[in-house]
Amino acid sequence: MDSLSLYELNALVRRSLEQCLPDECWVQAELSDVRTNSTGHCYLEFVQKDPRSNSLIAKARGTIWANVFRLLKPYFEEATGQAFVSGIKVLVQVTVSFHELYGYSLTVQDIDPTYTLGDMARRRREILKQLEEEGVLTLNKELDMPRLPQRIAVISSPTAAGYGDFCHQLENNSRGFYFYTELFPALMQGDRVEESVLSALDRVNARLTEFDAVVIIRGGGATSDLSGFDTYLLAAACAQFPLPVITGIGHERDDTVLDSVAHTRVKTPTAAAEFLIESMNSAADELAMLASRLHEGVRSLLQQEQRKLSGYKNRIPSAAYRRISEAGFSLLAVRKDVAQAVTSSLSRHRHRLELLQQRLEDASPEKLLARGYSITLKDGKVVKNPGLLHEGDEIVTRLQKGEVTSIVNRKSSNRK
Amino acid sequence: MVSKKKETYSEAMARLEKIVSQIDNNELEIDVLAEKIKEANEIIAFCSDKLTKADKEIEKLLSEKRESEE
Repeated sequence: MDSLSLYELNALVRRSLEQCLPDECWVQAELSDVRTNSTGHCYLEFVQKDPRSNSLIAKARGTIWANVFRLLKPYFEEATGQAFVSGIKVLVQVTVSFHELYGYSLTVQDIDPTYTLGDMARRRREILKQLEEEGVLTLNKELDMPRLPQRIAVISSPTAAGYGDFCHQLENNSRGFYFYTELFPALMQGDRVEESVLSALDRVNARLTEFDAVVIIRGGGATSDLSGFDTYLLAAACAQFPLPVITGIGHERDDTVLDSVAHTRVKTPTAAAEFLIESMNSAADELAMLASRLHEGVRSLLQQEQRKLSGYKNRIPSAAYRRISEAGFSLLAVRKDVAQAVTSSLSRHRHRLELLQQRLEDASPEKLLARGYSITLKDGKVVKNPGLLHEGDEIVTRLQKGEVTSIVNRKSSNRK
Repeated sequence: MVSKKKETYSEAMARLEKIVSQIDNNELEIDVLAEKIKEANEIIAFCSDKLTKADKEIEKLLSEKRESEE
């Protein structure tokens, strides 16, 4: 019976594999046990789990040689925002090899980050869906941003460039707004991001009344390991946090789950500072607008009163003139009446006077004389009784046109 | 007079808005105008201070922080 040595058998396996497998093929798998050694080679395991039971159903050793890994790792991390670490799903191009001593292994030639991105997006969607089902997804967004977000709890790494940018931007705001910031240090990269940020949130939560808003920022660093911000626990804590959370995690690609649940999401720490300054700006603008409306309003109110007053003032003379001229007219009328009354009264009096005069004239001796009567005088006195005269007395008879002097001859008593 | 000690920025702004709208709508007697303008100016000063200065509670926090750092 033919038999082979183990080496021969393994060599046979190797040849068979090399013959019947394509040189390269693309394979989907999850990374596990990723390690790099000092020379830059990366050794790892590819695994596949049963989606229900999560138990392993396939496994293969893998190698990424240093010359490939040097390019592949930053390319992958740049494209996905995800560190090349255990637990993520990848689509890699591999060559299958079988070594008589080391056995079956896959050598990675290339990687397709879009697959991982898709998988990450799916995981993010699942987390968001879960938060939505629990009714907490939009809780933080529903909080009102305080009118003056001035007291800021900052969750960041004290050494991060982004933290410095943020503080610098806030302190140098052009309108001199006051901000108070306090740093709650946390790890912003690596595999302890989740617990570290959660613990920082807890510390802020213990002093809620001292702050208006929370800012979670990280910055700098070309490669981004954002998987720590895509976790359910962190997202749930942020969504339910009682203060508005602003994220400036510093990346351009799709939102992390943390971004999705935060009150406000901006791209960079600087933008987070700008957002706060802008909130203050709009409060200040509102105040300035009210102040100017107040001044306008007061001025126009005063002008209006002024106009009213001067209107009255102007109406006073014209009313007075009217009254005066009315009075003048009636005065004229009265004066005319008076003149007429006086004239008529005078003429009445004159008439009466004339009548009296007439009567006086009628009664005068001259009139009587003219009518043929005469007056007899003795010694200048009117003689009415002949008994007072004696024969021989000289009497004067006054006629209309002169006097006659006579001597009394005979005297008869009263002719009767 | 509203007590100043615990009035928030929003409450102060609400008072200011009320005064301005009263003036706009001609609801203020000239007799009280001066008083209202004075009140409004006080509110504006108060609010402006809020924007640019630390209030007492923050000062307290800051001093506590300094003490704990010493």
